[in-house]
This record gives sequence, structure tokens and C-alpha cells, in this order.
Amino acid sequence: MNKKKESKNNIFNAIVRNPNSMGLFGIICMIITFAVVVQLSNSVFLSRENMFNILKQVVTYGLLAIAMAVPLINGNFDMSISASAALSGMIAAILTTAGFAGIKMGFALAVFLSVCVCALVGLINGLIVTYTRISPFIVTLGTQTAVKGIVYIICKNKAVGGLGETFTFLGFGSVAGVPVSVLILLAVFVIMGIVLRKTTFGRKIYANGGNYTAAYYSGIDVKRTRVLAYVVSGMISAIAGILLTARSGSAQPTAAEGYEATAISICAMGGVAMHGGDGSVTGILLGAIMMGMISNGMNLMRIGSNWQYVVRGVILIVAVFYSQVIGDKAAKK
Amino acid sequence: MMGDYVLQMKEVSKSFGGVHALKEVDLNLRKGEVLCLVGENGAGKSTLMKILSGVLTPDKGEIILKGEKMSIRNPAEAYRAGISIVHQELIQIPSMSVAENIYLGRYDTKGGFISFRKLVERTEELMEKLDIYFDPESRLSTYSVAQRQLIEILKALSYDASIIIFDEPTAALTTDESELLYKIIRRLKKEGLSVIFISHRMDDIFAVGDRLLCLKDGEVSGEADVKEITVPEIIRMMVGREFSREQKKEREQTKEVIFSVQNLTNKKLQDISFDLNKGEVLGIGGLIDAGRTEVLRAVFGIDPCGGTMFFEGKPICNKSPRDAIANGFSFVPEDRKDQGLILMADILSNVELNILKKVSCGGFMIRQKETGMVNSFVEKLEIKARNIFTRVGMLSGGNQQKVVIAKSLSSEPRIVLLDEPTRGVDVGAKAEIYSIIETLVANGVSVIMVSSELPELISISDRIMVMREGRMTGIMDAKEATEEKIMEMAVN
Repeated sequence: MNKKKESKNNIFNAIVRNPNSMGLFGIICMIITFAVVVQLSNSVFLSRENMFNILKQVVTYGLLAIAMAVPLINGNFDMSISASAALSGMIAAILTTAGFAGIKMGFALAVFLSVCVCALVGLINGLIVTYTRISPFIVTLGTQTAVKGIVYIICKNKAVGGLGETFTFLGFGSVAGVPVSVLILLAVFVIMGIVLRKTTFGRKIYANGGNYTAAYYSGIDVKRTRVLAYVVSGMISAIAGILLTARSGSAQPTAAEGYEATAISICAMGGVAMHGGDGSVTGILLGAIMMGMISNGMNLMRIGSNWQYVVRGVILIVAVFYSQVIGDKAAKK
Repeated sequence: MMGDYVLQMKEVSKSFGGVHALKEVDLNLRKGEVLCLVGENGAGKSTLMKILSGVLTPDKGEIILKGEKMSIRNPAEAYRAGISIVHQELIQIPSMSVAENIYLGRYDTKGGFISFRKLVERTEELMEKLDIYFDPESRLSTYSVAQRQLIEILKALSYDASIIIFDEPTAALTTDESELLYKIIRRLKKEGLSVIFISHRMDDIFAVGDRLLCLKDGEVSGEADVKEITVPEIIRMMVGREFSREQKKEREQTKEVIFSVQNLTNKKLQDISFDLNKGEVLGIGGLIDAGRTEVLRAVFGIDPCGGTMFFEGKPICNKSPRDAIANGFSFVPEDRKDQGLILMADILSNVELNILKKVSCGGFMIRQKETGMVNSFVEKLEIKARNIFTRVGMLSGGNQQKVVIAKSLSSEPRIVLLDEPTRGVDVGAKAEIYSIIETLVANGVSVIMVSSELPELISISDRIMVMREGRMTGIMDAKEATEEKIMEMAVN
């Protein structure tokens, strides 16, 4: 009896002692529980096709979540990611169709340019946050509003449609049976995983968010790192925006509105510390999948979209509570 | 005779995890008396006052208030018993008005709403009593530190206190402001209130004190009438411990100046100049707020400062910690949790922070280099942890401190700045930290160490610089240094 208890404790210890798995334990349990419940009422849920469906649905959310996570781990908020996404989608759409001020260009160049523009938005965010004492939340809320205005100005209040084949391929094509957008999502996650875990830049981001003073005293270029985190965040939002445009078949000025809140929810569920210093790409991916499963599963269970909001909100709080309880347990060991 | 005392604390003891903070301390306070409580940093003054104000409960002993035995279990009960404390660090809400701060949580209400008129009236009455005046309705943030201190006193009085405790109230005040405070205390005395006054300043004691109680290592080391005592006597009481200093190993002194500072001046420092020899430990002594930490911060490029610094004869400029590390300096800050460590990260990530460049290639971390370097430090410094992927938040204080030291040594510094390197670590870890310092010095590294523990300062340092109020008051050879000499320079 005693022995059994002990071995159980050991497994628990092994999980909670590993700092990376600790934050993920809660979300994995949530995903499994949720999957079982939905699967029991509708056997389509866990089919291959439906899994890809879920992944396709979370591409934009997932990318925006990681765009949010980089500054978040660094200890700052970025509320402007949704507006950046709308901006990049719009720029890419206009440049490849009607052209802007007579300038038209190929797809690749247009994508490159929109990523650059969003990197610039990130740079502005970063510089203001780093060199003033204005709260990052307010700074990026301001740039969000301003960028939104710019989107309306350049599209003259109209959605831009008639996108080329490349857009269609991005939105609906697949390679070896896997949707292209999902491949891009995974590619970005792998790259960001490497950047965060395996590069000096990544180490500095965690250090900055974990303890800014200690990082500064350790000779880390804290200001430069802060600014760069915002630049990276802007670039990832740009990719998210282009994929969103591809999937909707047109660039809407209202695209991605309010998505920054969803991105924060995903980060929270995925174990990203809201005060910085902790979080992993795997966690964010799991959080995004959870988010997709909730709407998809509830659709399959024929729960109305109004109720879906209620459930989503409750699950968010439960998931975060869950991972905190486990975190506390680990801290006591 | 018994009836004379408004307050008696009898044989009060308190220990924290096996360490005695207080051992059978007696304290007696008469009506209308100012009792000065003195002692070195860490002598147990704050613990005693925390017990009296209900923040801590004693392990043993009793408190007798106006002849009645009572227990004070929390701050609210202390206030009810008529004991108020004026904290050293002001606990106030700057964005609220003076009146709101004074009566925080005890507002007059009228039908569920706060009656601000009544609040202002009460505040004005209170201020009349002390003959000082502030606009009750202006925000606290518009007042200076000294003025806020007075407001804090008003707050303490507002509880109808019969005993008021002042915890180093003059530390942040100028001479004129202190004079005003003395006046107020004398006035309180006249109204029959009793005061316990904690201070390091001899001026304070002789200006307002009636009697003096001295603590040393958690025990009463002396009690006297202020009229009948002299400064050297007080210092002997504060230090008066028979301690046998271990015979220090003779270090080889090269007398080769590696680093020198000339006229270091900033907001907190005035004209600090010293030389540091190769392989030498220069200790910095003094009381809290004497500017000791500020010297290290200025040298390490954290605080901007005027003056010049020379490293091996060449002028250098440390504009930021980054510059300082590049110039061969490293810093172990006094508060490891706030300034030294990333508690949620593992040992590896903490130790490598100073030298990310060295353990990476083209921006990518090289796992082998990282683990090799960190493991070697874990072994060398005997950091006790399961492995290098343990979160530092889970380590004991001593091991956390060793992680901070490992981090600072990883950049192979020529000059190590240590700020209270053994604060809050157990005896074993202390000895290990001392031996780390010995090894450093033997290898030609120079150390500047700030410490509040005088025996440590004397036994580890080669020379000791003493500071007071941002100025250097003297520098002496550690062989000739005694605790009395250092204290005298620190207070006068």
C-alpha cells in the first residue's frame, strides 16, 4: 500500500521536477479530458480529417499566440499584434493585385515587404517601451489603434479580393496530405523553439523577463533585447496576417480584430508566465490546439456559438488555475 | 517601583529556525520616558519591536502593559493596546490624501459613505496637538520624505497611543528636520506618552534620550541613564563581545595597485578615493545607508558618478554593468533574490548569464560548453543540488548565494565586488564562501567587500575603509582594526 503511494509520488515528482513539463502537465490533462468527452458524443472528433481541420482553424491564433509570447516571456505585453496582422495581410493583398500608388509586385516580394513593415511597427513599439516609462500595455494599445487606422487608409475602407493563386495555395493547398498553412505554423514553431531555447537571444529574453535587474547586472544588453523581442513579434504577426488573408480569400480591414485577447488566453493556457521569464513553444502549441478543440468539439456537440464563449471562458480560467496548483505543488518540493 | 512602568517585557525569547534572535531580553519603560534602543545591525532590535507591535509572536516571555499581563497576537491588537510604531520604511499610499493615509481603514461613515468633512476635522485636531500643519486634503506624494515621516507620526498618534516606537526615524532626515523631530518627541513626553527610540546616531540619543538599552547578539548588553554615559561607553556596549579572531593566514601582499578610484561623487557619495592592490581584500564598513553599497554600484557602472577610475594605471569608464564586466569587474549584489538570480530559471541559465558569448557560437548556445562550464563551477563551489537543471528558487539560501558567486566568477573577473556576501546563509555556507574568497585572492584577484558583520570584516579584509553618510571617514589596516575603532568611525 505504502509502496504504491510512493511510486505514484515518484512519477508525479518526475513530472513536476522537470521545469518544462511542469507548466504543460495541466494543459495536457485538459486536452485529454476534453477529447474523451467530445469523442464519446461524436466519433468524428478524433478522425485524421477533423484533426487537420482543428489545426487549420488554429493557424492564425497559434501564430499570434507566439507573436504575443515573445514579448510576454520578455516581461512586456504586445497588444498591437492583431493590427499588425491586418496590416500585413492588407499590404500583401494590395501589392499583388491593384498595386499601391502604381507599385505592383510578385508574391514573394510583397510578403517580404509586409513582414518588414510589421517589423517596423515592432521596432516602434520596442523603442517607445524601452526608452520611456509608459506601460507597454498602453504603448501597444496605442499603436494597435493607430495601425488599424493605417489599414483603413491604405485599403480606402474596402476589402481587397481577387487574390492570386499563391494565396489560394497558402490558404487551401496541401503538401503530402498536410495543409500548407499548418506546415508554415509548424515551421514557425520549430524555428521559434530553437530561437528561444538554443540561442543567446532566447536566453536573454528569458533572463529579461525572469529578473530584469539581475539580467542588467549580469551585463546583458537588456534594452536591445527588449526592442528585438518586439521586432520578432511584429514579424510573426505579419506571417499570421498573410495566412489569415489567404484563408478568407480576401484582405479585410477588420481582420484579426480582437485576436490579441485570444492570443493571451492561449499563452496563459500554455503555461507562459504573464509576468515574464517562463513559457515554451510546445506549451503555446498545446494551448492553441486546446483553443481549436474547444470550438470544433462544441460545434460537433452542436453547442450554440453563444454558449461556446461561456465554455471557452470557463475553460481558460480552469486551465490556468490547474497549472498554477501544479506549479505550487512543485515549488513546495 | 513596579507601578512606575507602563510597559515591561520579561525574558522575551525568539528564534528563527534554530538561530536565537532574542535571548531572555528584559525591557522596562516608564511613563513619559524616552528609551533609546541601540545595537549593531542584526542585534535584535527590530525583532524585539516586531514582537511589541504584534508582527511576531515571542517563543517565550511575557508582556506586561500597565500592570496587566497580555499577549499581542497581531498589529491590530497592538494598536488597541495603545502601542503604535513609526516604521523606518514608510508604509503609505502616495496617491491618497494626508487625511486618508492617517485614518486608512478607519474612516468615519455616514450612511455607508465616507464623511470626508469629519475626516479632515479629525486630522486637523490631531495636527493641532503637535503644532504642525499639513493640508489634510493634498496628496501625500506632494510632500518630502521628512514631511511624510511627520505624517507617519501623526498616524501613529491617531490610534490614541500611549507608547510610540520610532524605528530609526532620523536616518533619512537632515539636521534641521531632526531638530523638529526632537521637538515633537519632547512634546509627546510632556503629554505623558512613552517613547521607544531606535537609532544609530549618537546625536539622537543625547538630544532626546532618558535611558538607554543596548542589545548585542539578541541579549541585553547594557542599560544606563543617558546623562551618565559617554559615547565610547555606548560603543563598548554595542560591540563588547569577547571574540577570538582566528589567526588569519598571511597573504602575500604585492603592493601592486591594480585599481584606483579618485573623487568618486554622486547623489549618495562624496569624494571617495582609494587604491586596491592586487590580491587584496578591501573591506568597507559602516552603518546601513552609509553609502557602502553605493560605492560598489558606482564602480560597477550601475549608478552614474563623477570622479575617475584607473585600472592598471589606465583610466577606465564603467557606464553600465556590461562595460564593467568587459573591463574585468564582477558584482555579487546584496539582495540575491531581487538583483542576483532568476529564481524561476535553473542553475545552468543563471550561471551562464554573464558569459553567453563564451558558451555560444554564432548566437547558438553550445550545450557541451554550457554544461561543462557550469558543472565545473558547481563542483568547485560545492553547490548542492540534484543537477544543474534544478530551479534556483528551490535551493537553500547558501546554495543560492553560491550560484550568484559562480555567475560572477564565470567571466574570470580581476576585481570582484561583494555586497554582504554571507547575509542570510548558514554557518557552513559562510565558511565555504570565506574559503572561496581566499582562493580568489591567492590567484591574484582583488576583492572589495561590504559587510555589516564586524568580525567578518576584520578577519577577511586586508584593509578596512569606514564610511559614514556617503563619506569616507577612515581607512585602516585590518591588523590594527578593532570593532570599537570601526564603530567609532562609523557613528562619529
